[in-house]
Amino acid sequence: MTAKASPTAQPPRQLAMVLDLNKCLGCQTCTIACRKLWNTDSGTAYAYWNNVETRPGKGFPKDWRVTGGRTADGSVKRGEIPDLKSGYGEPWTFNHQRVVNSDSNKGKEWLRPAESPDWGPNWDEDEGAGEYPTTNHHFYLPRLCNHCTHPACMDACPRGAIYKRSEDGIVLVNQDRCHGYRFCVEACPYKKVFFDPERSVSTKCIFCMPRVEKGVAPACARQCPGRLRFVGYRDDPEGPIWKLVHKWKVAIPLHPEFGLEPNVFYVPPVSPPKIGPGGRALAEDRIPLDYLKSLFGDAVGPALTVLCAEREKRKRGEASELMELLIAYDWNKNFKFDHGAREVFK
Amino acid sequence: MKQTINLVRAPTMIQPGGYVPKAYPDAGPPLTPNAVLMVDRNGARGWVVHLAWPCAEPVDEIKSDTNRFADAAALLAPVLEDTPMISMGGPDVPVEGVLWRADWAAPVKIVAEGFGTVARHPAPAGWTAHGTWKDGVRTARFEIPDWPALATRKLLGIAIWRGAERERAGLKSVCADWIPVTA
Ligand code: SF4
Ligand code: SF4
Repeated sequence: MTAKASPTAQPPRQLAMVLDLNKCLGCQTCTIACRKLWNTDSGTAYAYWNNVETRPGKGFPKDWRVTGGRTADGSVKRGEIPDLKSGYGEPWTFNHQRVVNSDSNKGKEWLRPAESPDWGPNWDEDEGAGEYPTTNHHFYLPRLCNHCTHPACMDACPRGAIYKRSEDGIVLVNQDRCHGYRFCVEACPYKKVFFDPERSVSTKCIFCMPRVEKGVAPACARQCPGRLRFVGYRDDPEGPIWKLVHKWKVAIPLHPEFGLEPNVFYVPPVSPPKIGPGGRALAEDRIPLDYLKSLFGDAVGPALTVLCAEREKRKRGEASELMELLIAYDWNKNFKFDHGAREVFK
Repeated sequence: MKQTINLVRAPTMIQPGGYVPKAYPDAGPPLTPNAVLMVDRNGARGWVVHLAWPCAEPVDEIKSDTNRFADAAALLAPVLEDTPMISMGGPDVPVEGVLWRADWAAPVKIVAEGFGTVARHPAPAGWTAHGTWKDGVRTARFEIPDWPALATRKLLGIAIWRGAERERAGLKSVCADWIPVTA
């Protein structure tokens, strides 16, 4: 049931995003910015084109890493379609009105879902792994469609309803052609296509296509208070993507072993040290390197080495182009499009 | 005419896209091994078609979850001579037909020129399809007041999807070739 996936004809240019995991606050502003802008249909109330999950953790949908349509060597395997209750988590209905109207003299009503859920997006927030206070660790992993170079979703659609835009490589669903067969949902190993059962069509991240066409960054990137998202073309040597991915090689894809060549890249988290007797910092990382390798592959080691070396340089008061860019002192440099940058503040 | 039709698993190796042929390699018997087909004339130009098949677990709606697929059945007829059935026609040799789905209020007309090309259209006036389920048997009854392709070619193809088994698109049980219609 496994066989190598077929290559895809490539657009001349590719828009891409880099996320610096050292700066993510887990605030979900990106999630809400995206959700409010694009995903207000009742049929996808369960879906998050952008989600932020705690790692180590199960992710959203639950255990997505093993339910997609690719094996650890990039071969095609039959994937699964997550269900609402145990996979994605049912959207909850809240007692907002009753809470607002409740009177503390007569007994304050607390905000709670009407359902009795046992799973949902971000269910395992901040759980992480390790033992407090010596080895406990977690970090946040914001996720969106990777607008892959070889999209499994596109490869899976028998109707040709998914395509990669020739001008910038954004991967889109043509809902007029979509018949709701969900092979794309099954096949995407990142589980970033969502089915709308009410409209019987698939939906996914559109990389804020109408915004980027006007030189405005995607909402998730633009609203991020951590200033950790960078957006631009992969082949632009003056842009942040080329610098972080190709020049400094500190931004690497999630699960490269699936073989889809994602165009969303991550600057991996530099681990804090374990704490030893007497509260002293040890020379051992709290986040096991093997765990990071299980997410980002072998490139994570060299990327962390470069990051640490450049941090040290900066600590010594020396200049570092890399640190300057990652710190985002000048937010203008986070985004670079061909059309100017309308939203940037001076 | 009334006959039991042996069905085959629609071949996935020839279906479009890189995923389905690899994730669902051709193997094993069809999930619906056979179906009872009854075709009767209904007036000078019309047809009534009954299709009945074993179905242990009916699925009538898909809106309550993300991973549900509805039971469905389709009738096909070739528009021209020498039209392949198993691939739903091909370039310039179209097939047309009617698709019943358990979760739809009305059937749709389908036109295709090969796998992956199915276009859905509102069914012509008077075309109806109703499904029932009883004691492990699904029945779909189609009423088609006027179907020139069937009247001319006198050939019918059938396809059945079992929603509970997540059959959809090219994952289906079909007749191996056109069925001559003698009614
Ligand atoms: S991440 Fe999934 S949905 Fe996005 S392009 Fe890649 S395969 Fe398609
Ligand atoms: S908005 Fe930025 S900091 Fe907040 S969760 Fe999203 S990526 Fe992280």
